[in-house]
Amino acid sequence: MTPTVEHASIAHGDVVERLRPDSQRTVLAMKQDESEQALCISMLGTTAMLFEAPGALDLHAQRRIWTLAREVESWPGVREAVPGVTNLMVTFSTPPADPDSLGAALRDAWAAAGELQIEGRVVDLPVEYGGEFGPHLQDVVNHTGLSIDEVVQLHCAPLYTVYALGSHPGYCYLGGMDPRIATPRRKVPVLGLPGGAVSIGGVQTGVSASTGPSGWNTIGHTSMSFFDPTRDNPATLAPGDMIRFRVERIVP
Amino acid sequence: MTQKIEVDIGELRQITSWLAEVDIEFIEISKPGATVRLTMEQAPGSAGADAPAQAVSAVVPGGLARAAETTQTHAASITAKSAGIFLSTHPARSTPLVSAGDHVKPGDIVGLLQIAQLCVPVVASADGVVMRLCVTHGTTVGYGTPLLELSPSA
Amino acid sequence: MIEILSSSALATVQDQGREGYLRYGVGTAGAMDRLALAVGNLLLGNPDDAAGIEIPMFPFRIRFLEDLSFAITGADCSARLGDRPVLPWWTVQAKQGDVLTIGVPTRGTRCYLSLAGGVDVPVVLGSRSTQLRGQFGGYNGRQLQKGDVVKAVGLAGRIVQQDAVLAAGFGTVPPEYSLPAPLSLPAADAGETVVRVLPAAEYDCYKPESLEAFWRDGWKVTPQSDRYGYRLAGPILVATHSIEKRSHGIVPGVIQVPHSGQPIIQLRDAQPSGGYPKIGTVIEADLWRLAQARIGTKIRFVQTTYAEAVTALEELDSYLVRVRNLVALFCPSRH
Repeated sequence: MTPTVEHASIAHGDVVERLRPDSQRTVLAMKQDESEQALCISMLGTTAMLFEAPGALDLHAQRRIWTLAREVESWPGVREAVPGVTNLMVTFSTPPADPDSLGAALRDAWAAAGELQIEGRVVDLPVEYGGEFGPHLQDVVNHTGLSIDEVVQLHCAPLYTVYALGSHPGYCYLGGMDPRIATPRRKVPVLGLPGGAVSIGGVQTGVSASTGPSGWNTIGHTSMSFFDPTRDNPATLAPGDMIRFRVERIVP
Repeated sequence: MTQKIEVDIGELRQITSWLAEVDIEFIEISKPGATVRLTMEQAPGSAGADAPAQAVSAVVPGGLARAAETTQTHAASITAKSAGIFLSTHPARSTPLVSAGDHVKPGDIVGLLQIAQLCVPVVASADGVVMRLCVTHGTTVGYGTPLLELSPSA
Repeated sequence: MIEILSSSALATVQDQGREGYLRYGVGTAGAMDRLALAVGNLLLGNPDDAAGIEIPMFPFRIRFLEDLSFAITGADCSARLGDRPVLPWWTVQAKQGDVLTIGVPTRGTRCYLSLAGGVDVPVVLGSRSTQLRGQFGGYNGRQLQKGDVVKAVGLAGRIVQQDAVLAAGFGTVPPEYSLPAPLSLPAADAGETVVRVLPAAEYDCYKPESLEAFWRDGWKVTPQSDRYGYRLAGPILVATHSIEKRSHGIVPGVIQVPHSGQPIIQLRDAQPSGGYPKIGTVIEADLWRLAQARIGTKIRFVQTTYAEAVTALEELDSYLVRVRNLVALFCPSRH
């Protein structure tokens, strides 16, 4: 678990890129603190190993995580390779006899991992902002000092990339939100938030895929379905897909 | 009349190795019309506990064993139907399954025989009143050991 | 086939869990006490992946709508079939019309009802476990309610033995005798649940006095504890600096420490990913012990090594193999 900043090269490119060792923030940064992290490999009991990629939270790192996942998922003893946000959780069907050598193999695979260029779909999400299903839009306005129209416009402007799925069935961790509309998570979570709720939590935005609790600020609603358990591939979206929010209407 | 019963020698070896593990001297398995009794014998001259040179004799007397267990006289005695450790109380409990003076009816569980991790019920086959437990909780018993005495109900 | 007679029981259909869909945000669900469910299936000669009914609230009553063998494992709930007591960790055949009453346990907190062949509900994404968030799997993706009729797969083609030996059923010695609880220092009080823990990535971020308290003190299971996770009350755990992790996968047993400094053990219905710091992970081999820790009692954490944790899993597996072999020896029709 020695922290190191590693130099990375793209396996299949003409250009050798280096990871930025400085703490430069990018517009794609999802967290306002700890914009750089060290490479870290740790165990989750005997059930899984967690690989945390070094460097900034950006799409470059995430693409390499996608590559790493594809490589690792066929390794012996591996049940599943689960991408997170610039990290990978490797769950075991049988716990490895020697986790240290598995960790070393992960480091090697990461070093060799180029950025996976996924030809993702671009999905248009019509959103009804504010009103009954966007009860916290005013809280975002109060925190940011922007108007409702400005908040909505900044939320709709980017093309968001699906970094990974997690949290609950079909839920997408999105990258690309404008930090100007970042609003801290709520002190008291809302229980029973319906599926389709569009929310802002810190510097992230997301859409819940089913009813459940949330500590984020809910600014609107979309009626798209994100998960169907009867399908072989049950999630509607996959890492590499892109979302654009579109204003259907703003409820005063 | 004896019946021809096919016994898989591999299964017998497996069973004897399990018996050796749990320190049971013999075990009898009954089905309608058939009984298999496996007896563990120490090989003559075997020195030390680590010589698992058991001889196994398989006795298949047909329906005789079943007839023997049901012939009882006067005060009904419930006997062990197999070897094992007699338990008057279930491991998860602190009160015995039955006590002297309890009325029991057919099918009631009046004790347990522990065989390794299994608990096999000791079952009353007739109406009666528990007179006494013949062995204490935790005693290793063999086939036929009297476990409880019942006085038949009027 | 059985009919649920109790309302608001929070009972769900669970098997050993839904594996392989974490990358879609689907957690494993599955039985909290997977050992108890496994033993119930072994007693009946069910397939290992057969589903049973997890019962966390009592009393719980069902009526058998057909003759059916069943097993009761987990917490000792003073069960009765009609007016006859059913011993814990036991299997016996019920007759059509029999009412099974599962009472309030004095120790432990979850009971498992297994049916011959397993509970017959559709397999969704490879499992019959209930996924409550998202409402799929198990019995229509929800907790069982009064009036629900639950079918059993049954054990087709097997002779139901009627002889005296099996009419009273049989059972196992509860696992705690074959798999004794880990020892803690200082020694645990009666009623405390001791589990082994491996440090997790953020373990070293905590102050030494917090780490001492983590291993030394008892952690009370608060009423806000359920299949999602156990919220524990005890000393405030203080990190040496503010920690915000990027969202990453977690598994049941992971002990997160939110801003309050009070740890939460993530369990079977937890979100499969999160961003809170992790101080440790309860080892997989001890999750069944946690499942039986009652609200209001305390948990004790014991530090272990990876090798010991793997050995503990192997001990669990060999225990189940021994039970399987013994049941096959005693009741050959079941295997």
